[in-house]
Amino acid sequence: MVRLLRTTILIFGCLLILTGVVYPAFITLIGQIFFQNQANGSFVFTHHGVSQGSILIAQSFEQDHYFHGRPSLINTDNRAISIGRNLGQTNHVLLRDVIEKAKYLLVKNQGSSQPIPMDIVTVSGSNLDPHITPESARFQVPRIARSRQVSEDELLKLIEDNTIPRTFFILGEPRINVLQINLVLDQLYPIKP
Amino acid sequence: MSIADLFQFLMYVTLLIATIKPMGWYITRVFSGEEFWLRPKIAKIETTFYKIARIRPDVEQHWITYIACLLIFHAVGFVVLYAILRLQAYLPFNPNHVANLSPDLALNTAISFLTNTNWQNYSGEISLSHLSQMVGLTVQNFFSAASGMVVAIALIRGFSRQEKQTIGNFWVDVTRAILYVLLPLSIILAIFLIWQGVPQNFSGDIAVTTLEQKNQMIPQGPVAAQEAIKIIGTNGGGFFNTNSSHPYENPTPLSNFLQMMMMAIIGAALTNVFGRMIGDQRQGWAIFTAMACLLFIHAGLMYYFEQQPNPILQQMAAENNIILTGINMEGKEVRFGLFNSIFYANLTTATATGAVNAMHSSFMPLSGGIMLWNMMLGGILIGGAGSGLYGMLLFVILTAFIAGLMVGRTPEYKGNKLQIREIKMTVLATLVIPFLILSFTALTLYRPDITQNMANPSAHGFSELLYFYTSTATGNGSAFAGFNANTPFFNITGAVVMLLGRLLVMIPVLAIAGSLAAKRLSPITVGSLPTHNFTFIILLIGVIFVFSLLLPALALGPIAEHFLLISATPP
Repeated sequence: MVRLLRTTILIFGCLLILTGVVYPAFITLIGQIFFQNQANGSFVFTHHGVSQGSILIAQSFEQDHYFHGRPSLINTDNRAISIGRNLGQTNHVLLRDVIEKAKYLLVKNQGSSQPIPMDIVTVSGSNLDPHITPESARFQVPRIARSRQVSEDELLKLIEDNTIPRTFFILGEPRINVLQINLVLDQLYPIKP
Repeated sequence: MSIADLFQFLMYVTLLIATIKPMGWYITRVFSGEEFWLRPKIAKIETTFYKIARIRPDVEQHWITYIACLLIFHAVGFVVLYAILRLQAYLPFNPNHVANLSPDLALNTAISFLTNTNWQNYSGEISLSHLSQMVGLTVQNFFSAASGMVVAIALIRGFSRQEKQTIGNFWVDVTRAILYVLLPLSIILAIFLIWQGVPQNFSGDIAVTTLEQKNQMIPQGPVAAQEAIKIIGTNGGGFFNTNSSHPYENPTPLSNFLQMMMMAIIGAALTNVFGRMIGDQRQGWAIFTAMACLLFIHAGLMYYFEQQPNPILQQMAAENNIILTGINMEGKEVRFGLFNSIFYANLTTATATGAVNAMHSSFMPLSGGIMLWNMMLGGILIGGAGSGLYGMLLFVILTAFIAGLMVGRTPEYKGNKLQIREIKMTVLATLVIPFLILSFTALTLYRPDITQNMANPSAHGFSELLYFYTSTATGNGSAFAGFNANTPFFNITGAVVMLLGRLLVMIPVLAIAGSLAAKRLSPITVGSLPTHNFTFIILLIGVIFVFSLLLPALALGPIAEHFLLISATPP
């Protein structure tokens, strides 16, 4: 019995060091050498080297001149922890919330034509979804055009240029990265102070 | 069905089937100890480990010794993991200064990772230090997957051997499973994932100022290393709270595809290992066909259910002059959309992985029903690393037994006579899961304040509870996550159910392995029951249905909710 315990502890120790220390250290080394940006969180920077956020993590946009992302339970100025809402399809809280969000969007986006895409009236799994569908981006065009004083056609063109296609034309869904397109917006059509 | 979805599906199926033979060949080589090109490179580490621990790799063990080693390996694992979780505040690699876990939460988490369940009653980015994630959880991700694999290998040896008292050496099998299979695959996947955008660093939160001049704190960590083994070992315990729906765990459709592939790769390959080791690959393909048939039928059903609009929502929208378009996106991520969300959910419940890329609770009710059903089968459709194959082989034994009785011959499978002892053990192992699910769900319903733990009212609340015990009993670990199970009562009952659901299947399986290995193989004649043809596969699927489909429980949860959905009026 004592021998069995000794054997267990020794082999356990060997395998623990291999899988819990050597393996993650090796992966970190590879990541930091070959994929430095991704391994450190895929942050985007200004010309002065100031971080403006991670391209993978949604940030909240509320001002009229930006594309808005999907609704989220995570408040602004909070730690970007992931939480799911987990409401069921028969839950009245969910159903009422979807309708409220849709009404709010119609008020905010006067001049936009229905239908409203589902993704901008529901929360995502992580509440950190950095993407919206191209339809949702097009829905917001009249509002942004008004507030930036640009033509709607230019914005539609911008959406088309910034649509991320399916990987290999097969995998996933076409989508817009909200932070990415807003960075381009600021660059092409800066807001005059 | 859209063309793109069809292509995604076909690409998945083709690539998965293409991996079965090479992976099966490789894993067979690893466990039979034969020479092949990779062996000399890794053997140095292997023999060093044996020397340090004074293990004699050539000495095989009786099945009782094998079980003893398995239990003591788990016991040491429990002590180490529990200690790390209880002491993490004092240990290094804790940049965000998280506190120690409470005793009941640490107990639940340790059992959960030990048993390959990876049910998570904590939120990764809030409650755990980098050290706990790495040295605590990542290590157990490897060990629990390895223990599942070696039990499957021991059972296969039982089938292939005759008149032997031993079924292999536990230490050698575990070491080889980790060194030759889990670790190399994890290294490859982890590097792919970093390339796609999964972080791998040791920093604490990074503060940024957003475009609208607000502050945002973004958690970081050694995610990729853990993410890889989480998928390959069919563990499913995410680094972050929302698991693979978090953009840092699963940033792109390609990373999602790789995760879906790697979730099934070992489970699928083991069917071929079984075929090779008993000397008839057709047997392995028959088992894979039965698994894949059910799996893809379930995927089809979920795809259909999930495309249906929510009738109550439509009615409410019409009353407010709102037109909504697109599928139900609540709890789903835009980059995955319909197909990748339902297929991942189907795979993760079928393979006992339990990673999620969309919130299962927010799917349409009948889709949730399919996920529950997948788990009630015991995680045998492709299945967990090892646990899928041995779970399936239990049903194969039952089927061969029933078929034998139907034609009035001594039941046997590939020359192995199936007698009272094997059947008793098989029935014990197959009934323990439904027993745990139903008894614990029923008893818990007596708690007067149970609705306070539920995030949703009515039938959906019941589904949450049923999902909790189904997920823990079958070692899955996914959740209808609104359910608050982080209370002493659920932490402890959950831990008990996870432990029993794992060990009360593994121990009988090893007993069967021992008893089959000791028997003489009878020659296969024209009178023997063929176990690789279409008839046998259909019979096998039938037996699985009869034993595992807990329809009355499903009727109270997802099916009742479906009828509420189609008949209810808006609030």
